[in-house]
Amino acid sequence: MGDYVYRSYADLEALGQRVVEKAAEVTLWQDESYSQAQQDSINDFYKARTPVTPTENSHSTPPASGDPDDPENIKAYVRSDLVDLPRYFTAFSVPDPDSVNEVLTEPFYRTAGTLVPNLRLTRKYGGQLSADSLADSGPYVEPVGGMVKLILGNHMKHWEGDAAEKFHGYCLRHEEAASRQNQLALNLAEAIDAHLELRRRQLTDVWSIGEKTIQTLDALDAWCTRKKTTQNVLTVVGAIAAVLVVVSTDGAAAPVAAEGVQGLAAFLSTIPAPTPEPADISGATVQAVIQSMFDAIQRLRRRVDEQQETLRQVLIRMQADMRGKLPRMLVEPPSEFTGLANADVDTLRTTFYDR
Amino acid sequence: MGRTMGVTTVQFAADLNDLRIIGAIDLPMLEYAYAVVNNAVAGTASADADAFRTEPGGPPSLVADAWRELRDDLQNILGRTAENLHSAAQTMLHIVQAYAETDEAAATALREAWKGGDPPGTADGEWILPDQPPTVQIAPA
Repeated sequence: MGDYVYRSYADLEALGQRVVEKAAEVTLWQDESYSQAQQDSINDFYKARTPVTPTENSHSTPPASGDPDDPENIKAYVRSDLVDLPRYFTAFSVPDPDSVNEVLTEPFYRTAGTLVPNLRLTRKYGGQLSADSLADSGPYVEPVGGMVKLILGNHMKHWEGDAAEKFHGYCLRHEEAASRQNQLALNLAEAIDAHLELRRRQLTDVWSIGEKTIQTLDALDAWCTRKKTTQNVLTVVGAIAAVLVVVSTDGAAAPVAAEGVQGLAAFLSTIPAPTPEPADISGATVQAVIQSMFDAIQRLRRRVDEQQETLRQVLIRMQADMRGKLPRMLVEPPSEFTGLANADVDTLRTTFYDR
Repeated sequence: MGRTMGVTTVQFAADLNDLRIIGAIDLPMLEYAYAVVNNAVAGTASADADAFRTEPGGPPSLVADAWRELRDDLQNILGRTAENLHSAAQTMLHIVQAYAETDEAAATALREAWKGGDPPGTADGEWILPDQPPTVQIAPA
């Protein structure tokens, strides 16, 4: 996302406080809002004097001086009514996703590039993926397929006994297994990418809600009760789709398992695509605008939870798919070969090769 | 207990050399690669707390457990593969040793071939690793 900026807990709390201050300020000069707040303040003043009747504003306190409908007391009343508002913003607070991005994603892309080299990844719907992400894992690390070819093509020519053939098969299965392991590594990279992108977007969206609430409050007319609307859209709904990758080979073809582990995109294709959701901030009074803000925040929370649940379900299905293919992902050496670990030469001559 | 008739010492030594390359070079290189990526995946756990924390001090996200389990599965697949390759390499070296003990001349030729570093018969991409592979990390079940 081009306009992403990390917002800390303190940033979100400050934003919430700015909304509170703006609401208190506008209430004093917007006629309809002022009337409503004045009435609420008076009502709660009298309710507070009768213990059995709860006040609408649970944080309201009797004025220190003057009447409940004096302007300064109304301002204080509005502030107290919204004292919990900043928590609605800080509830979305998370550690900076970019602070853990490299530690979490790079090892999986490097693992994928080590297991099956010459792969190129691009984002399915645009966006950057570092070309370095598929660099191998450093010196002395050679691709699995290349090593298997050297073993079988160069060094096993004269060893043809039963155990030798089993060893031959063991080596071959590593190529197929590497392809599946590669896909699983890519799946994990995409999944964590999606999770971090979701976090970036939830921060962006809650910030936008706060700023647009302030903007809408500022736009209210002093005398007229015409509704003001500031358009807003939730971007979290596109978080998972934004990180999907497309794999292609570059030059030398990478081995592709006949029944491979499915990629993230394949799992998501069975889940209905979320539709973008408008979350406009609107109202003709301060109270209505603030309620609209709360509604937008609730919608954001629902969408975040839905995206997280989608990702969780996909991960569970990935795990079930992977475990169903485990024997072809974790290659065990054949017992006919491992049984020779302490064999004498006579046994070897009958099972490995008669040399 | 002698070597099969018709196979020359030179040919026998060459065949043993091939097997020793597999056991001392190729399989260890594969083991090394898998141990490296196993450790790389294991290393992502250091960021788990910050990756999945919600509100400060609050419970982790809905995704945390599912992602960690799948990460641990991959980590263990890579780690067990490295361990299996290590066992396979040791078995292969035993096979070489067992055969070499039947022919002193071939055994001597083999020792001479490996004296100076990379032996004959290795291709580009095959070399004796200078370092031990990193210790494999298996995530608990």
